[in-house]
This record gives sequence, C-alpha cells and structure tokens, in this order.
Amino acid sequence: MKPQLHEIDVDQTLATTASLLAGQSIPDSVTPDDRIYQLIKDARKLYSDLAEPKSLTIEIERDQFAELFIGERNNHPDALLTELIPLADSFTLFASTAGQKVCTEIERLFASNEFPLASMLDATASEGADLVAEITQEMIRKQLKNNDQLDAGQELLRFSPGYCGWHISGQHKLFDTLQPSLIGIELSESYLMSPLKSVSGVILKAPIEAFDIYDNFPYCADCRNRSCRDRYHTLVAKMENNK
Amino acid sequence: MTNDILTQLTQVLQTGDATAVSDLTKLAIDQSIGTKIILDDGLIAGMNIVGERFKKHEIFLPDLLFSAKAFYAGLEHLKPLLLKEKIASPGKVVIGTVQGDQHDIGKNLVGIMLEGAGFEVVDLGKDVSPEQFVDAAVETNADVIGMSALLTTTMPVMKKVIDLATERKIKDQFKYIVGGAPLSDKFAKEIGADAYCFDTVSAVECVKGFVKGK
Repeated sequence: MKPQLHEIDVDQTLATTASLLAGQSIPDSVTPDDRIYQLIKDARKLYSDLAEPKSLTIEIERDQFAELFIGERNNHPDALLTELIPLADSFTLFASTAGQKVCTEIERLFASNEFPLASMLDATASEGADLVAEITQEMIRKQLKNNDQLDAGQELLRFSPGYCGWHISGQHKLFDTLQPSLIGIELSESYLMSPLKSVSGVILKAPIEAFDIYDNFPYCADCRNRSCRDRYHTLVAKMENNK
Repeated sequence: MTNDILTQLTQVLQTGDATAVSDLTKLAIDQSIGTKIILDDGLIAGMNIVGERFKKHEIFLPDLLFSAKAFYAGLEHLKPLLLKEKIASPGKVVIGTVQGDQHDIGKNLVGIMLEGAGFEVVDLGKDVSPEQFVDAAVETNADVIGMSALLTTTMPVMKKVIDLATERKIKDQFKYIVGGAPLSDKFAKEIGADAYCFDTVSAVECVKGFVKGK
C-alpha cells in the first residue's frame, strides 16, 4: 500500500473554549474573569493562523506490524498490543501534526516571558494535535466503511509508542516504514518528534470487545490519563447512539 | 513610604499587571529601597501569596502565569542590581525534562515559579541525559536537581540520574525532586528521589524546605 497524505482543515482541529477551560482545571461552577477568555481567544486565533494540520497513513499487514511492534525489543512483557495484534484485522500506521509554525510560536512566547499566552497556545496546540489524530482515525474509519471493510461490531482504536507498554523506541521502525518526513515530522535519536505537537502510532480495527481494555497492567499504575479507557468508552457510547 | 510601595507592588503582582509591577519596581529602585528588600518583600512576597491562592484553587493556572509574567517585568529591573551587589539567591536548582521525553511545559512552569520564589534556575531544556543533569549540577554547584517526565517509558531515566550521582560518589551533594503526570510518591521513593512534586507550587515548597534544611 502507498502512504496517504491527509490535509486537514485547521478549524476542525481548533480546541473549544470549554475544553480549554477544562484543561486549565477551571471547574464549570467558576466563571473566569474576562482576561482568561481573552487569552483563550488570542490563543485560538494564533493557532488558526499558524497551525498546518496534516497526517500521513499507510495500511500494513499483520505480520509486518507484529515485526514492527517488536521494534528494538524494549516493550513491556505485558504490552497491551501483544494481546490485540491477533484480534485485529487492520493495521494503519499514522503520523499527524499541528505543524512547526505553531510550535515555534510557543517557544518564542515562552522566551519573551509571555507565559499566559504561551501556555494557553501550548494547550490549544496539544489538543489540536490530538484532534488531527482523531480526525485521521475517523477518515480511516470512513474509508473502511465505504469499502465494506468495517463489520458490524468492529471499531477502531489508536495506540502510540511510549504508552501501554509499547516502548518509545518503537518510533524508530514506525518511522522507517511510514516515512513521516513526507509531512515534515522528523525523529531524533532519542525518539523525539519534531514538530513537538505531533502524534504517531497505529490505528487498529478489531471487534469492539477486544478494546475493552482492563487497566491493571503493571505499567497502568504509572499512567494517570487512562485515555485508552476513555476512548473505549467513547466508542461504546457512539455505537449505542448509532443503534 | 517604603512599605506603601512594597505593599502596592505585592498587590499589583497578584493581579498580574505587568506594567504596574514594572513601574513600581522602578519607583522602588529610585526611592533607594534596597534591592533585596524589593525582591523579597515586594516581588517574592507577592508570588508567595499567588502560590498559596493557586494551591487553594482560588485562582487557576492562567492567573498564576499572569502574575509570573508581572514578576519577570519587575525582576528585569532588579537583575543588574542583584549582580552588581552580588546578592546571592537562596539556592540553585538544575531542572530538565529527562532523556527521551519531549514534554516540557510542566518543567517550564516549575522553572518560572522557582524563579518567582527567588531561586536561581539552570534550565537544561528537554531530552536531557543523566550525564548532562549530573555534570550541570556539579558545574553550577546546584542544591537541587529537578527532573520531569511525562512518558512512563522515560521515567526510568530519573533513576539513572540518581544512580550516576551515586556512582560518582556525589549523590548527597544534591537533593532530587521529580515531577510529571505518570509519577507518584511511591515511584520517587523507589528510585531514591527526595520528593515527588505533583505541581509547581509543591515543587517550590520542596525546594524551599531542602534549602532551609541545609
């Protein structure tokens, strides 16, 4: 399969005011003062002007992914994907980014002591990069559905090196196969992605039950975000709504 | 007069009015209020109140950062005087995001708040190797090494830093604080760190405690 380049509309990746407030741990019951709303407005405007969201995907075979996943043999012995690989029947590598310009602006703002705007733009770009990955996953889902390759009861979920026992060094083989430099994402020797606001990983298609991931793996104790569980619950809720 | 200016300075710093903090700091200097008094009883006193309010959830991260920006606006005027008068900071902290990790927003915020508390901060940036941490701490004669990580897979690097200092027989020269979303008190104890700091304010409190106890 050939890699697919996806140009994504920046507005689709723009974090909402509500999600940015929640991201700052400001409870719904609190009405922040006007300067915080202005800060969010400024950060969203900057993001709209500077972000260049795009992603790259390639579908590969199970065996190829299984080999790629082994990577440099640093994964946790109980890595989640070890269990999921036999259950999945589609493996799409992806890399997505909010682009370099917005990352450069965050650094510039921090260096200029513009901490409130730098921090809010950072939060906006982080959410933006996640939304690019989410939209990419949705694009893959639509493609599979349009090609009658998404059976009833099947769903998609994505995983990234650095999480769920998949060692960060897994980035190396992922990048070798996907070549995200085509959309300007580079990998450093220590597996850092540049631009910073980038996400990479694999999108798996499997029966939704396969994604009912329990969260008592040894490495889960060190993880607070539990986004794997959150995404699973979102999938279940979507399926329920579509019934 | 001195107290009036310092009280005003503390108040405007809490509101995050950078222009007012800058103007009042200049006024305080012009009035020949001592540099260290302006710093301690004006700027740092203001940041201490802001930190306490943040801890009690009375204000939020953006409010804290408006005050931090205002603090730096005042500090800019004091920095040349602090150097000239050879006024030492209460302590020095080497901070960085550990090797293999790219997430530096938390580390940046800790650095800002530590400076806001009067500490000298040597920020090594992100993707910092154990050798870089230990070498920098030795070279700058630091009191504390602060390490940040967001990825569970990069957390072990923190232990490597402490192990390296142990190997070089200099572990006890420094205190070690760790922070980042996946970390815990238990993890900090397991790797031999002196404290796990769950947010910027707790990091400042830890460092204050360590420096006071020296």
